[in-house]
Amino acid sequence: MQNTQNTHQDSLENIMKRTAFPFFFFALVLMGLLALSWYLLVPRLTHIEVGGSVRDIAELKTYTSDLNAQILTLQDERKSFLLPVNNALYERLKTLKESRSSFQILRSNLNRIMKTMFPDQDTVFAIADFTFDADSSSARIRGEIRNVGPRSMTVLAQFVEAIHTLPFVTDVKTDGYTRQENDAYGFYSPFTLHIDLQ
Amino acid sequence: MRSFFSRLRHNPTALYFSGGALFLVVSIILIVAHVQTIMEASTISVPLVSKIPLLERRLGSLTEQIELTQLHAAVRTGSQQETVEVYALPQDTDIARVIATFEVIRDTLQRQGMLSRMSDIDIGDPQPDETGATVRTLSVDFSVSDEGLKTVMLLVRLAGLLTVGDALTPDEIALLVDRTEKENPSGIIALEQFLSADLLRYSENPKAYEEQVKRSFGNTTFVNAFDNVLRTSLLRDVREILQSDMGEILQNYRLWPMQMMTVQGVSIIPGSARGWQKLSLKARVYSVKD
Repeated sequence: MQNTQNTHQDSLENIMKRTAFPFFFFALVLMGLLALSWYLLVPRLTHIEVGGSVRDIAELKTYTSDLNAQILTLQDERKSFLLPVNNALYERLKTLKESRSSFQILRSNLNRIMKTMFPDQDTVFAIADFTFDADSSSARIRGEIRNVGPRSMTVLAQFVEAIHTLPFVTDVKTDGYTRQENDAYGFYSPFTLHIDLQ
Repeated sequence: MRSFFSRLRHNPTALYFSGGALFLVVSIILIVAHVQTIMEASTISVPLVSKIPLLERRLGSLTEQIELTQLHAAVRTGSQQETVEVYALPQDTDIARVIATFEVIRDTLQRQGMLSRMSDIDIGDPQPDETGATVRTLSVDFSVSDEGLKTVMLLVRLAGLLTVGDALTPDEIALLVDRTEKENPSGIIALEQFLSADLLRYSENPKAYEEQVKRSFGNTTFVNAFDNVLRTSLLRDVREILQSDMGEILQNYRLWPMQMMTVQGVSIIPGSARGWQKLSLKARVYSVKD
């Protein structure tokens, strides 16, 4: 039994001794080939000639971000040549002027909505007053829905909904929906709309 | 440690195994590096390589455009700057000039049957503004037709604008520049001249200015974008208003360019006649220092 164990240990040691050098040699050759590939083959596969010079991935990234930065600088420079006036205050006021011009756009859109809802009837929307405050970018409309019989509240709700869908309107508030009646034009719904603009 | 190396020296099998294991670890690291590099090459380099020629072309075209515009802009910017300082943003508000402008608006609209009455003009004291300018509040009431209301509001919107470029939004200018860059970079000169054209001069003969730009571009993509901008921008209203008597009178009385104004508040009440309104306008008139 003892003999069998000794023989088994001897043969394992022998195998280790016999395989040690081939293993070392294999690892050395593998590493050598991979090192050669890393220094000679991989650069050939991954370095790319762009703009007359050969660049690796990191250099390509740097080159691209440099190009982007130069383009942005030149665009700014071109903008300063294209815009006839280089005056910071004047530019600020022009932007402010543009942002305060939403009144006309709102008014023309309201007229369009009213015409779309009642193309053949122009006595439905009786606007009593229309105010616009550029500082708070808001408008207030007071008026009445008339001449549509008992559905004046429904028409008012549709009108409010249509204003809500305008892209530059952020909010529309009403003081409530009521229906009243008088002898002059039957049922009517008075309204006050508060419109917030972008 | 020393005994480990001395034992290793006397045991070549262990030495070979240790060396082999070390080389194998280095080989594994190199294999991982190979895989990473090749993956990066396909995911990063390939898109970059296709993007770089476009960026280089864009850079070249921008450089060319800047060289072309530089000289012209140097001459022009000085004169425009002077116009801003004298008319659009003067040191002090020229109250007589502002009132004269509104009187011209009143007389012209009255003659055209668009205005029946204009109230006295109330001009407030100068106040500092958050923009850094000095501002005076101007209040005036009108009884105007729908067309008259549109004209008054448009003139306030045009007040202070000097050139065609001022009447276009940054997005509209960016669209035209982008099309120019793609189709004919040297057309930037024609575009630049168009943008720097005086608004009143342009409205006197818009076709001449527009054709000059169109001649520089054979391709219809730019021309389509250009026509679209002309049709949808503020320039359409500018042509309508300033081509009428209003433009001529403002020019004859030397009231153009107007001083910079913005709308502060508007109130509209239906007038007694159909299609007429009572317009109460509050505007801000800007100057640099008062």
